Amino acid sequence: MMRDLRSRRQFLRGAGVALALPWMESITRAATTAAASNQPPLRFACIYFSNGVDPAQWWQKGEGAAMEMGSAAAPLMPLREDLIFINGLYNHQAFINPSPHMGRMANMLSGAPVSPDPSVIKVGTTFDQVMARQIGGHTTVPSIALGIEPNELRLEDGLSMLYGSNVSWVSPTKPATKEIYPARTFDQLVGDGKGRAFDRSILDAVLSDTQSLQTKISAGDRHKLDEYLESVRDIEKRIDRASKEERLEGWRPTLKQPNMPRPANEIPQNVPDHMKLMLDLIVLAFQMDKTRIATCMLNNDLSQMNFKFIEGVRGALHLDLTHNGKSPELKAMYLKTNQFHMQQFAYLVNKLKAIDEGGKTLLDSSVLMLASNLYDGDAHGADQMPIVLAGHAGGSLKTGRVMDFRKAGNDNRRACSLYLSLMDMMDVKLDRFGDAEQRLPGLMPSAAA
Amino acid sequence: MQVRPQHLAASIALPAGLLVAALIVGPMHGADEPAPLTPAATMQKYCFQCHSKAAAMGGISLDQLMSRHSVGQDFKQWQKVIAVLDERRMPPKGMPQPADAERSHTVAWVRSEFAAFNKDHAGDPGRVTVRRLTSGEYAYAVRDLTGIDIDTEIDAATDSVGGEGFTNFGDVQFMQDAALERYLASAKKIAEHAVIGAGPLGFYSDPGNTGFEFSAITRIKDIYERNGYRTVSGEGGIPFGLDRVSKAFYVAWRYQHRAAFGEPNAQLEALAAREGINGRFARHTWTVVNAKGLGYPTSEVAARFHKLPAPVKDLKASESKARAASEELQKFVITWPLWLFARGDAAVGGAGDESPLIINDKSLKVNPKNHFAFNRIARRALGPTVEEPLLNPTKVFLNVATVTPGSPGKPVVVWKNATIAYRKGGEPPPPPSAGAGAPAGPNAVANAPKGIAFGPKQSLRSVVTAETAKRLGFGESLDGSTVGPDDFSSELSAVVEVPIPQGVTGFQLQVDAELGSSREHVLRIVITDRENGSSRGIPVRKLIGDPTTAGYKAFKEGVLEFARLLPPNAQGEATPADKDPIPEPFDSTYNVPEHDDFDTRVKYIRDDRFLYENVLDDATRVRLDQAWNDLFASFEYHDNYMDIVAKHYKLDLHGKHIGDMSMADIEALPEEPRKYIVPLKVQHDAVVAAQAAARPKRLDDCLQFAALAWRRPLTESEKRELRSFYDRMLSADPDYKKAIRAVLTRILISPAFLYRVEQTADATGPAVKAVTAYETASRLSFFLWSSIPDEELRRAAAANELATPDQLRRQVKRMLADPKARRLSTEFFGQWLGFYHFDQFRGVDTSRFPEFKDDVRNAMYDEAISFFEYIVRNNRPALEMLTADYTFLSKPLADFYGVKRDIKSLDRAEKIEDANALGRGGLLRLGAVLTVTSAPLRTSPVKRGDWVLRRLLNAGTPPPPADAGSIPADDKMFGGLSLRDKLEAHKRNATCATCHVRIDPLGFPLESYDSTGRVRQHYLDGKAIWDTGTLANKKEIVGVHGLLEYLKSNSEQVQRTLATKLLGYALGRAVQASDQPLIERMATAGPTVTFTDLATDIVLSKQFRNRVGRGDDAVVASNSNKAGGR
Repeated sequence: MMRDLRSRRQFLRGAGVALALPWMESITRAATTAAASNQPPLRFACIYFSNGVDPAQWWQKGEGAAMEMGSAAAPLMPLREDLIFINGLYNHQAFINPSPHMGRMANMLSGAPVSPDPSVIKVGTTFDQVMARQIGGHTTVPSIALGIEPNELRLEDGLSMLYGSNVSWVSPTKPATKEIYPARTFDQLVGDGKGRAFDRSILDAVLSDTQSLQTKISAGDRHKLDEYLESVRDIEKRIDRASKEERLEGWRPTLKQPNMPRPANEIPQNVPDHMKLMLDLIVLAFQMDKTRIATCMLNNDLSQMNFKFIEGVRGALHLDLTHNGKSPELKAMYLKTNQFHMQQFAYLVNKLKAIDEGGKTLLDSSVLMLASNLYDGDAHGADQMPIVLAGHAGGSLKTGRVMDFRKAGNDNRRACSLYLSLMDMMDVKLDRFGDAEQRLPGLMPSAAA
Repeated sequence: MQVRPQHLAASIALPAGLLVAALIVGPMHGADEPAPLTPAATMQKYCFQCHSKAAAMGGISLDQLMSRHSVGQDFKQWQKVIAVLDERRMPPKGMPQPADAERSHTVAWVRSEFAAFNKDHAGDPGRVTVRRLTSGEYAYAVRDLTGIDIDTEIDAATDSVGGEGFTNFGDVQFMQDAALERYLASAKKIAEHAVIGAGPLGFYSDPGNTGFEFSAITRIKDIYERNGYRTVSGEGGIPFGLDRVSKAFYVAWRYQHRAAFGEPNAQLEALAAREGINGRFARHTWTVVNAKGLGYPTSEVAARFHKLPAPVKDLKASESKARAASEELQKFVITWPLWLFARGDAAVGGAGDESPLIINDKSLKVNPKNHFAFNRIARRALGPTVEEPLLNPTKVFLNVATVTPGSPGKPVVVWKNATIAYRKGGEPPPPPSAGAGAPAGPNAVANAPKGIAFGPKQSLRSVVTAETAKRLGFGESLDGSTVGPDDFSSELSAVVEVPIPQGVTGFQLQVDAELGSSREHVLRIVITDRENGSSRGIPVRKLIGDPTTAGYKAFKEGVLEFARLLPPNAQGEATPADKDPIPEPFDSTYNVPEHDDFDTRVKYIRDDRFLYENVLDDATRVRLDQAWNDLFASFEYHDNYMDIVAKHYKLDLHGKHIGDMSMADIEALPEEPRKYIVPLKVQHDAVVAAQAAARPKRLDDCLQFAALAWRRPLTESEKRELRSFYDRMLSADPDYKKAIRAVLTRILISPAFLYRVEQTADATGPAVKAVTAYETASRLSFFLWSSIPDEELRRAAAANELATPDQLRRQVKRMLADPKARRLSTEFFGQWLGFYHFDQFRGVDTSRFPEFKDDVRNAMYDEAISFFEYIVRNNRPALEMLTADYTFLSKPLADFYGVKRDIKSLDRAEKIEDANALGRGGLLRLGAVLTVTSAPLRTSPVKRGDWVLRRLLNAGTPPPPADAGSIPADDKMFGGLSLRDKLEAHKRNATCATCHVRIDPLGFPLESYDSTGRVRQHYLDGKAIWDTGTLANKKEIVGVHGLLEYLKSNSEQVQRTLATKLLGYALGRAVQASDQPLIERMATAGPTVTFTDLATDIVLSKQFRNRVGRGDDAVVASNSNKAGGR
């Protein structure tokens, strides 16, 4: 069947007919967007770290090469001309939620309320997943959600730790499956789908089983099986996409085969190695154009990550270092964890900056976001969030700036406004998102004008 | 289904719902006192200011609650309301307080509303959303389905917690492509472990072809071990099953005398079963001992059998006598071949002689004459170079026995050319040119041990004393045969006394032994220095006889008959991989290329004729044939075998496979190799045919597997669909094993396996439906075993025997006693009490506590699981979990705790009694619990107190305010203050106090346990432990004993918590108002109620045995459990 389609397409192309075959839907749409022609596509990544920053050390001022900043962001100093520091943005639903952790974390990228009922997992679809749904079809893998720490199973303050373990949500009730195994991510990116005829036959069969089962069960149960069906179809789509990966777009990725070895099956023992691998995988995915949308959680909320791998630091991120009781010794250690998170982001930015995609760096064609859901970690401060953008979004984003919205009034400092703007850059236009109906003022030249 | 009659709400012009009731059920009061307010007015006056729509502090909005139709809708919130009113925690201090009567009336009114609600609703099944198997259930189900442990890599990442705090709660579960990819990968992995061959579908720990081969070996070995007889077969042979030989004789004897035992009609097979041996083997033995015309030595066995004493009056004594005599007979049967080949010591345990004991043409081959060389070397007892002198004289026994009793004439041996060569102490080894042990000249000694040199040979006659010479009778013939002057002859054995000159430390005796004139005899000769005829070290032994005589032929037939009819010592192969000896025509010597080639490429030979023909029952024969068939099919067995035969005979087969060869091709081969290749070809074709014939059966097996995995019989259309799927896969790829694996994969990622789907709800059916028998079986097995039903549950479901309370009670009792109930301890208690997955706990800073190693952590996990397993499986009172005076320790954990008890087990925990004296015992003192409730570097009385309050008393507190502040994580950084001081300061803050006054006093009593659960005497800074908590009513709780007393005085509440959690876990939903009567019954069942009783209460309950039958959401809504909006 595949062969038939391909020959038919060749026929159509030969005849000069522009026909939107259903399976070509996404490709056709991509072809119509202006940026797609011969330019590299835009990529988006969000790097999340938990437990905020030391407010006393989180400040930036000045522009371009003259920018200055507090010591929390010191590792970003050499990159300052590629960055935009955005201060003062917040999510109202996080701010008003009485649960200092769970209620202020899972909604970071959606601005949605977190369900207070332990029987109902519900927050909101995050904007990375909104984009994945709309433009994820351009690539083999619509998006990747990576992490370092596994999902936790307990209830915290009566709320599921699932909230604290997932920054990316595909629907209000379900997080994007966070992958913490580098090897699995690698396989997902590199697998070509051609060897998956066997899987395909099994999935087809199961699909029909489930459909016949669907007619026999109650509405509530049907909803659960719908999720299952949807998952089966998603895999099938991916197999199909991967097996007929043949681009109509003019642009070609600069990397055809992975330029890193397949990671070991196990999770690396040491946290910095683990993070580096996950960030490398984002770079690989972008460079091979396997996906254009990625999130990575450097840690979970309420992180038990022990930072003893940093010289002079002892204890777990959340309980020991963030809630430091203002002990000077521990505060100093906490500051080092802030800097460590910045270093990870700097690593990613530098790597993208070093990749040439035909006269432009990969960073030029990216927009990266580094953020934590809390500002003052010890006080669970959701009144604002530390946010850093990097990359030039294909030239439309002016970097080397500090934007401060702290005094802009609540309606003008919504994080969801930023997300609307970021989605604009990625060619996903929404009228509203979360609690925002306007773009972030001053971010894009057009909005500034 | 609404509780309050519609007209009541409608008839009053007020907000509908509860408020109406609360208004009209105002309490009665006398005329002279001021009228207390009605519950509605009380709440309005004292509560609404903070708890109405506008404020809704703590998420409680009373006006909203009051506007509902029944209390059932907001069950948990109402529970909180009456708790805070009852305990006078609300309204908060400093706010206007209602009169006592108003307070109690309000509480009473809510309770009466609950009671009214439950008149209609008690036992409602509640809405249970279809549940996906949790990662735990998935692993257990795979284990129970396949019988093997496979790392499925379905981990907790696919789980999510909800309801009463468990992963088996459907509403919060989710599924997405990445998760399904894992299920797919896992299903494929499991299918790879399937053993698909001539035998029934099974699973093996190794995947693919390796697993196929190993599974076959394991099955063969298993049958051999269960049924086989074996003493020794070559190096490393392990004796087993020998007792069956004596049992078989005993059974034959018992059968013979069945009338005397008052059982004239007893069947031989039944008697065999009584003794635990195979009927076929007993029958065979009976036939042999009663056979006519047996040759020697079988005739001797039969004769001895018939001499077993007949029973006398005292039957018991007769039996024991017969048993003892049967054992003697067994000894004869086993030792006779050893004796024949003079295996002596070596034969019993395998030491010394590594060659296998074989009875065949080759080993029974004889010559009338044999040359012997017997060495006697002194032990080097005084050091490596100093040899101990020999005794003078040293006796050498020329041990001769006839193995043909009754042959005509005298059994005479003529000993010819006997010589002696002496060795002096310290004599140097022979020059290298001579070659060690090789004859170097006319006088050199043959067969000298390596590195041992002897002097020149002298005739025996010239060295022995005159007396010895006379006794031996040099030159004399006993039967007329020719005897030279230096020769002598003997009837049977003779003894040579070798004189030992000064300084001699060894000698070699060489002699030719020749059969005398009575040629019908076959003689067994052993030359040894032991009088009993046994040999030391490498034995010097041989049978001599004349192969042309009738006497020899009868002997040989007799021995072969014996080997055929009686269980041989080396019963073929104990394991199919035991390849000694390799068969004809190959060279069986170790380390020669042919032997090694056979070992590595052919690997197995089947040689189990006796077992197969005379022992195994028909069904076992079938299984054995299937297993061998699979083994042959698992690699290129016959091709490899043929190749080695071809090499041996230097044949060129032009690279042909045995499957490609026609019988005509084989007929054209030279005779010798053909002899071996013909049976190979026949066997090969049989293997191929059997594998092909098995195919449709394997597909049938898949359908059975599906019924197990899906926990119910398959519908006809499902069967059809699976079969047609198989056909489709087969048409895409002719490898039928692949198609079978595809079917298995499909079964395992089907929603029928991954989800717990129950019957249809429909719009018109009854509101409540009984769950079906198979659904009941599943509910039971997932509740108590976290897995699929076992065979007994499936049988009971098929027979509809899960219907009456007695039937259910029996099952619960059976299931909780089963080892699988340990999973309840892991899954239920682990999640409830917070030590779930403690083996992966990383919350201890191991740089501060380096002794908290992985094995200690795993032992703590085992301690916790084993503790609850004990309570569950031994029908212990549920409350014993608090008070138990025992715990479960392994040595590493005991050492870690500093417990001075003699515990041997290094891994599995042992039950330790009188544990309280060691500071252990009961759930409060479980290392895992004390550790998970600590911070990485210090204890946390707040976490521990919160744990007691929340987990045991089911009374949570709201989350701390976001800006609560914190206490340094490391108690080394408290700046001189104690943890208590720090917390006290915290409590002075009024917003903090409300909760901490309830939490902290329950945590401090555990301070005498450090953050890794060890008893401690003081803090790190040397200060004394503060382990007293002060309750709001100023009562003090001192230490773990005080806390235990406190919990005992609240034991009903602990039991209520257990009931609530267990019910939520069993049903896979949060508890709701209509569960209250059941929970109350369980909570107040008294202190002796056992865990089994509580589990049984749940299994017998309406909610467990029914489900919502109608799809309409009205039923659901009236009884749901929303925590309400904020």
